Amino acid sequence: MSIMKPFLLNVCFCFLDFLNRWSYFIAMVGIAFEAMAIYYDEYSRPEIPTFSFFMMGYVITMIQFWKREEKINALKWNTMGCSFRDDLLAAHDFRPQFYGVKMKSYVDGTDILYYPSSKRSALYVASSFAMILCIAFVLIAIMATYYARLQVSHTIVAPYEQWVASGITAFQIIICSSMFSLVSWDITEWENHRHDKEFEKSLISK
Amino acid sequence: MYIFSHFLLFILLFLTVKSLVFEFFNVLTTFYYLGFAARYVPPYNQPDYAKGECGYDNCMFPLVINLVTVVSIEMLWRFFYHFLYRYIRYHILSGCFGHYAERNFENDDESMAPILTTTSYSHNAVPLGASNDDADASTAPGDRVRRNSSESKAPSESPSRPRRLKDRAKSESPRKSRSMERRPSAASIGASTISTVSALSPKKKENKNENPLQASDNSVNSPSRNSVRSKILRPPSLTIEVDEEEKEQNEKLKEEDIDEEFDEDAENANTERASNLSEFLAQQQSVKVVEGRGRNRLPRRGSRSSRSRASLNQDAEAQTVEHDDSYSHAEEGRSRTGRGLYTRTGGDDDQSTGSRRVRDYAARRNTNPLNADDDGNGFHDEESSTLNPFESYHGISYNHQHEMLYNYSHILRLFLICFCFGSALPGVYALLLIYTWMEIRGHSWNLFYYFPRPLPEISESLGTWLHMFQVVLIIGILTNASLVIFTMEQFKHWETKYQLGLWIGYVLVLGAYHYVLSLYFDDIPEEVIVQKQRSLYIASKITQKAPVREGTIAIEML
Repeated sequence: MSIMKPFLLNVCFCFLDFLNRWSYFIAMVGIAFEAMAIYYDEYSRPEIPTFSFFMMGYVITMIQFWKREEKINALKWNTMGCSFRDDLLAAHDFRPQFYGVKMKSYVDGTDILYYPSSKRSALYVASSFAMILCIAFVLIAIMATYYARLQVSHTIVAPYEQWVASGITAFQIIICSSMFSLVSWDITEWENHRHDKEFEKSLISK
Repeated sequence: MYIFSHFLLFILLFLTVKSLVFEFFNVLTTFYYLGFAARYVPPYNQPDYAKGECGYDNCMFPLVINLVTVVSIEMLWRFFYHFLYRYIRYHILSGCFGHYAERNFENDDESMAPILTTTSYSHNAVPLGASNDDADASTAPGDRVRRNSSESKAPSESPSRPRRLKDRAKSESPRKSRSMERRPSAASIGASTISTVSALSPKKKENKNENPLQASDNSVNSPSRNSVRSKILRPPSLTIEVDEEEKEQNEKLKEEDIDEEFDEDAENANTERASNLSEFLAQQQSVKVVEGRGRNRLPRRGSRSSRSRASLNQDAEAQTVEHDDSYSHAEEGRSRTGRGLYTRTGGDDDQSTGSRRVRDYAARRNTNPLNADDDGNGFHDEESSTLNPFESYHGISYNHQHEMLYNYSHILRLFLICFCFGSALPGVYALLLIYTWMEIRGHSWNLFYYFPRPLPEISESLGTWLHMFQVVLIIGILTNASLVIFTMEQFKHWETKYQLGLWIGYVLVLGAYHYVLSLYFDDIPEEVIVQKQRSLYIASKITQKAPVREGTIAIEML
């Protein structure tokens, strides 16, 4: 995947490439076990637990090797230590959307914006409630899907009820994730983070 | 107060642990229900052989169906998102629905053109100001790029050009070599346009110094508003006929729009340019009018070179072309310098003339008379104040934050599904392989064909996303253990205590393996440590002139 190398945009391409390379072995082994499961028409084959155990070990190894590859790429691209530099620089760069009360800094006496921690905690609680509402919406959607599945048990769709329910579930996942990506952005903006790093962490955490 | 403070701490802990919560519930709820809960739910409208609400005699089969369906539809959705969605949005909406026309975007607007194009390109075009001999040497825009760069290297001498592309450009037929020709970089376009934008708008001058992308503005002068406006409302064209018409129109508008800052030097330059215009028009005779996207906006014979931001900045200091709002002067500037419209000469000339270099298509793109502010420049300060100036200027660009969030979360979602419930269907890892390949190709395709070159950002690691993947790993270990021991049929005859013991052993062994691996394999490889030591040693010798000493630098210095 030589196309990956010129991209210094972010580490995403590198990670995808890494995942792709490590997936070859998993895919081949998985296809072999899958062939056996299909041949015997049983998905509870005795060798599946062994496959599961060693697959988890393989994934653990993959994550560990990714950390090493990250450092090698950072050295190649001369980005090692940039996060530390960025943190230092970002400490003085406030987000333009950040609002607060003007006060004198206790460090150097310059004017800074301060947002009270009590209000920030209240915002966090509010954003958590918003997230809980979103999760509740998702759960209701899933329950509705499987309730619909129950109702079609004795209809013409009965042999394929699970396929239909799974298809509806897949679209529900896509739609809810897309909607939540918009909502999470607004919720994170609402939390009034001072720096971009904090904003991104909170956004990713959601 | 004590209880309240602990409650707050609990809330904060919950908030930190809220990572993946939504995706976890959104994606895995059905899987967990089918894998662990459905068998215990009283059957309703189910066949007699069904186990609980599973619908089948075992709960693995509906889990497999769910896994295959969800992963397949997710992959199809990503295929649609990467390839069809962009195609529909750009090709259909831009023309039919006028979505981009509102922003003065046009179908053939070159600024919307991707970096690599499959359209035909004038292969034999001669760069303005260049001799015909140069045309022979120049075989691809890439060569012209390099030749027109500040280093002024001949195509054959440029070492940094990938040999593969170079050989392909030279050896292949013109038709083939046009297939992957490089267009001007949007980043290089954006850099100069940002400097232009900043000078055009009086308000932007205040933030001029804060924009790291701006070229040095010492050689840039404020344009006249009328000059910009006239240029904006009259999109240039490549055809000779249009040029003549344009020239007439420009001359008329030039008479109408008096540029107060236009001084005598520019007027003299105008007369010179007018005399050389005939030469330029003669050169235009050999230009092939190309078809395809941007045919009316394509650069003239290498006038728009794919130049890096650094070379543009260097050129801004080295060279300038004085020109007024007349398009012919811009053409003349190209013919005189042989470098293109976007070259400058530094020094006092720029400040004395008061004229300004304006990128035609960029200015045209940025201005919508309907949305013009009081100055008539059409800049939206609200946009520029909150958005990256490149993004606000071009409107459509690679929204780094949004795209990364959306793409990473999707990768995480697939990761979550496959590693938590991959034991139910071992073949799902083959789908994961196809998915990663498709993601790579899809992102590349989008960045090559549909987005301007995004502004790169330094990134050392995945950052928070790596922690998310580690959380996914832990969830996967627990889920796989539960699925294998409690859901599958292999251990259903075992007593509960032995099942629990096996589950604990499964999780502990994997946890211990993770711990041992993290101890034995350090996050920082030895090669990186050695290289860092070497770099520090060399730096100490150069900067601090450290004396020679035995032994290596201590690792604490890293």
